[in-house]
Amino acid sequence: MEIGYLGAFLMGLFGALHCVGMCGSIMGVLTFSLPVDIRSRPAQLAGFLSYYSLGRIFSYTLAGALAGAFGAGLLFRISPQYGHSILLLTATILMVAVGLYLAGWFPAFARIEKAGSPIWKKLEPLGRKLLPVTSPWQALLYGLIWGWLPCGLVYSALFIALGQGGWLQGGLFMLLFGIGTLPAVMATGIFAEQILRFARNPRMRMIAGLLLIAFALTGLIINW
Amino acid sequence: MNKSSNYELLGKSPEFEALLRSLDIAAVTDVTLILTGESGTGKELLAHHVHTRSRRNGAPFVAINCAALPEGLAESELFGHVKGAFTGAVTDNPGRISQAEGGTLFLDEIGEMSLDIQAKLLRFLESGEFQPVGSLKQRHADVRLLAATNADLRKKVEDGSFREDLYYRLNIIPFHVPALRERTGDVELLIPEITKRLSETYSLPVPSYSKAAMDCLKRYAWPGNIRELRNLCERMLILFNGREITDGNLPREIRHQQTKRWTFALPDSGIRLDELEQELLQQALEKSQGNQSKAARILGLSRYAFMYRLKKYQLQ
Repeated sequence: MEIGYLGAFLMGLFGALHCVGMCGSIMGVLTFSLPVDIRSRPAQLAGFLSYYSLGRIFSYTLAGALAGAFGAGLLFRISPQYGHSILLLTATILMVAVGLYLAGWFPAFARIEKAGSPIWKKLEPLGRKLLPVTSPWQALLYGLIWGWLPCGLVYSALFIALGQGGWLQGGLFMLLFGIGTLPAVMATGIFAEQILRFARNPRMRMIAGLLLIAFALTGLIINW
Repeated sequence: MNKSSNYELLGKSPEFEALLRSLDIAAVTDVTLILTGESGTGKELLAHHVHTRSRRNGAPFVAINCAALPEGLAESELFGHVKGAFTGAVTDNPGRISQAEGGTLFLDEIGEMSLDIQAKLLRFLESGEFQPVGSLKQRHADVRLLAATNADLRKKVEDGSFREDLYYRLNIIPFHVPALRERTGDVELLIPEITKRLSETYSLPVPSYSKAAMDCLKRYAWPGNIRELRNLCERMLILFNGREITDGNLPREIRHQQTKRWTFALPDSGIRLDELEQELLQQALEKSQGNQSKAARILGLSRYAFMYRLKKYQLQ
């Protein structure tokens, strides 16, 4: 667990500046497509927004558990002695790449999103059937589908989850990553325009990217 | 859709695909959307894409360019008029909103709409009701509104040319359409694809681009975005069909982009170099708040050279 649970949370938190670019608009759409009587009651609205995010984070956790289980077997086969070092180095490189991407210095990193396009093409029609959302169950189910939306940040986190040592650790890693994304994505549902403006600020993106890079390199130095 | 409709939605860059995915989700809902982005990025086609992916796709998609609406006729064009409402109103006109009934109304360049019409549009957005010119009756329309702008609406609100309440009503969910230069890898994908389609239209053999020419095109900033790219492909096809296009064949502004470090262009009437030099010295001093070493650095001069020029022109 070299880039540990705190790393997962920070990756979600800083990476959320990337999230609001795409997921923020989606959250905005999902919020404003709710019936007016739901939107006009803050408690009910918060409930629906929570269901969307709960579903999304559950999907991340499930994917993390699968990656963790798969990674544990893979690690044993690659090299029981050096496997962890290889994964630590790979995870650091990925986290640095995410940082560079956030800072705007590595836009080509977004190509990683293509990996998830085939799954999304199958899931997206199911999601369409759930819209417009009128019940908490629909919101939860939509969130579950939303969790599989192609996203470079999620894939990077999943790759790091591969090296967490097992399904439980992998799942926990992605759960914390998902929780890290909550503040920005939830806030965007309510303050879409202001948050999007903030997230597109190159200086803010650069600071978030540099913090993530600093965290990844610190983790590498401590754990090497 | 216009003849270039199929071109703008081409693109495999992650930035563009992410936007399409988000718009596909938004399409299913009935939420008012605003597309922001530079001119020529394909906002109208994306709005049409949202309409075709929505549940309203069986009803009309009506697009209006607010900048092209004549001042005196804008209200009647949008909300309609009744016979005799004004000189020349010889028949009833249902207006664009009524024409879009059940479907989607797309207001392009919404920032150019007059304040008077903005107030009426806001009322329609809030209640779904409007009043045709010359009519005493309120009408109701079930229309989804999509808008687009390349202007900074917030600035327009600040300078009083755009209503703040309409701004907040429209800007609920802004979608930013990336400029072509922000779309990783799309230039090299779009050039051959657009050229191929144009060659079919013109029945001309496809030209090829040399590596140096393609590298030059990839570096270019494309201020006119897809529209500019399409026009270039068309021009190159007509001039060089069936042949290879080298970097030397490209338009001057594309060829010289790297050597051109600033946008200053010598006017035909000429300039007074000494006056320009004095102006630059003054501006550097203003920017550095009087710090002469800093001002010298801004102009790429040594402090000594800078002081010499200040003395020469008797500037402080």
